Amino acid sequence: MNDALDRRAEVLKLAQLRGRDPESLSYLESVPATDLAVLRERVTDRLFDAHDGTLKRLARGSRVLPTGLLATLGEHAFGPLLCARFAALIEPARAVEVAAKLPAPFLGDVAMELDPRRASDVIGRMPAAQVAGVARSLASGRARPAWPSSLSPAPDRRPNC
Amino acid sequence: MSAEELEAELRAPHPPGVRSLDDASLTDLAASVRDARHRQAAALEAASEQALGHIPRVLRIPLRKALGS
Repeated sequence: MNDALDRRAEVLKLAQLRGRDPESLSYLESVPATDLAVLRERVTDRLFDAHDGTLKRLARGSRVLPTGLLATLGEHAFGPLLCARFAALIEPARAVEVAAKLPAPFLGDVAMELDPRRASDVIGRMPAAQVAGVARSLASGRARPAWPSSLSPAPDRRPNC
Repeated sequence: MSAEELEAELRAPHPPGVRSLDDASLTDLAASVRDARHRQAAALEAASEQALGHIPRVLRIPLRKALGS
């Protein structure tokens, strides 16, 4: 039973990563959950690396911009997907400063796109109250079915919410 | 051929369990990764253009220098 649930969870995460309706990937439910998790990591790596040069250049450029302006650009120009990519490329302390200026619903959308392997420093530094606010925002009426892996407890730290 | 297509798209070997899928499914997986990459590229281009409109003129020269352009 657990394996079936694990497989279903992985299919949901893969569907989200690729912008697909989960039902269109139902053929993946015949694959073991551990293999699906590896596949998801490889797809994540591919998407994160796909425009690495451009993203790194933009991340470098962002150093000269105030954090308030970065938050505005993130929310109104780049959107959650690209913000999640940038979060892994800019200095963690700065990413947390920018996140502090963003509304919880938007951060929830970013959380859905984050790769926790690449953003663990940022996630670990976020104030527990803010993490809790994002979790509440996600729980209060998000349409997306997948649980953001970035909101699994960070190593050695669990928010009190 | 479809398994190789997926590996080419991922630029990495895929796990053994995925090999058990039929060719149509493997082709679909490869196409979905490719589509996601293309969507990301389009989003990045559109966002970069839009971002310029939010950046005050006084910051554009230091930004261009930091971007290396």
